[in-house]
Amino acid sequence: MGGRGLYTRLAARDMSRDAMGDKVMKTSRYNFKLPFDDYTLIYNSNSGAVEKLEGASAARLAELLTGPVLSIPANALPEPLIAKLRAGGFVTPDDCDEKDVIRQRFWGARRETPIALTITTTQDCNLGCYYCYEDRTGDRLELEDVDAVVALARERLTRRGKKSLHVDWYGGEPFLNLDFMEAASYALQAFCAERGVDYHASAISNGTRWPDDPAAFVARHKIRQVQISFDGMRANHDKRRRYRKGYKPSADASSFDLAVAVVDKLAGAIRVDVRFNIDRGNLADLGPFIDMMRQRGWFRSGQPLSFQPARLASYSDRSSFMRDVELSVDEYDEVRAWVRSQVAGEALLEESEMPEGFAYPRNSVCAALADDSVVLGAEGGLYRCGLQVGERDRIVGEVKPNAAPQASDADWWRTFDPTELPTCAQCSFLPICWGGCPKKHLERDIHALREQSAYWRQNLPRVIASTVGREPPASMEYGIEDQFRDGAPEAFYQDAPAEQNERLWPMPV
Amino acid sequence: MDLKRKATALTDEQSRQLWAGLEANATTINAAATPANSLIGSRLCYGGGTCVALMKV
Repeated sequence: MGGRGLYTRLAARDMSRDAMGDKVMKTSRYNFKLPFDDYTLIYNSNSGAVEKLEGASAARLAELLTGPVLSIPANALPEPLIAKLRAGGFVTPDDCDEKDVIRQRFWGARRETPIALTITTTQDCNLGCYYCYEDRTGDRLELEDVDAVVALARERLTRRGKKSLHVDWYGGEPFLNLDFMEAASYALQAFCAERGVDYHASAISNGTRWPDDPAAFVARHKIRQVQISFDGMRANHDKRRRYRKGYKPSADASSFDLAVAVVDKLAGAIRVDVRFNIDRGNLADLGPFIDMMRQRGWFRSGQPLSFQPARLASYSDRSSFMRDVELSVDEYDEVRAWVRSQVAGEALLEESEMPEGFAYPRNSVCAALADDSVVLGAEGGLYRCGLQVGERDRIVGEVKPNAAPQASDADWWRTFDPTELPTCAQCSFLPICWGGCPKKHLERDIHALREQSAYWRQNLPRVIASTVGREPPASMEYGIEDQFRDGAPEAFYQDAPAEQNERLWPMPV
Repeated sequence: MDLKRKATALTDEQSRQLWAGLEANATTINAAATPANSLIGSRLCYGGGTCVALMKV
């Protein structure tokens, strides 16, 4: 944890300037309450603070604090109480613009987030996963492109004089272009060493094409985190992650066996993220897979192992065929809760919505929004989001001539600001969500945006309750009236498809 | 009083009555804090469109 943030500093400044009790205050738009039989918790999403309220008026006080924004006249509440509420951001000076605090934090994060250079070594892959959203092509980076990659890193690092470079090896399957990967890695390491820049790397791989000694490979290339994806136990995995024609190394080759062997060798060397892609077709494999991880000693390797149950879902029109097999958000949350109970204390189980394990106000943006981060496509185009590689109309720049088309989303990405969006600007989850995945906003994916909202309504009570070691009251989840204090907007975007602009919310009774 | 009404709709006297007599013992469970800006962006999703893991510097 980094400690005091922007909100806290502003609050402290205000407190030193004014006496607290004799100033008109107002309630924060970002307060939530969690009532138990014996006390009530209040939480503020713009500060991360949690207070326990006890006493005869606790429930009523919590009610007033968590509805529409209300003024609090000078000296209306006892001094010690108002001081606590103010320190936690539950009440603010009447002239405080809370949204501006969030906006400053957001733009600060866009500028300051460390550089991630995602390099798509090849758009080719030896496996043909049935849900894959990428076009597999012959595009690949060549050895003669290494200088351009180093130049790209130099340009990004010198913009603001940043002293850290993270490279994420990506594909396709990045290890299908091992020669380039090794050459570019050595060149980038040498460049960073010369400049006094801290270098580290990670890789996303299907685990089937690694060199013979994975531990030595990651050591010499400063790879400290690897994600290997699984689609179930052997039968399911091999069926869903089948070899493409011409890529199967032998008649009895199993992509599952090879991936397991790589994790066996990496687990004691670096952090491994074991990703398990779930839909209705392989859900039954989840328990046996956890048993297998335990039996193979992946949880006791001496290095952290992160287990990531990931929901396979339709992410765009190109994968809309998955709507029939995808788990609902409710079902997926149930799965995550069950996995949490199974691997508690053994594996890391991170939720991307809450990477710190608690709903702290966000202070980092994803690489797609980080001003200095970029994704290099295998054709030489630059992208903001790795999920777009290969979609040439999404290219925002180039390192190879003629990779970029005329039109681009560059301005959209440069100016994206959730505090200016019609829905997010009114949402009480804004400080902890920042609009969620920006790509979903770019594509006007209302289905996914609604799911993001539902995540917070359903999960925030659990997270708040965890601060006192409790479960939330049964069936407790927040409603639309908690999310939108002044009434729910009718639509995320007026220019979204007409059928999605029908009434979006179950309105509060 | 209807809490759905915005603060600006209340007179000073109504507002004072709303808060009058309220007292509670407050115990800090979590102090206000924001994480350090140390995440280096997303690991990428495979099909779901949702970033799953984040890395830290």
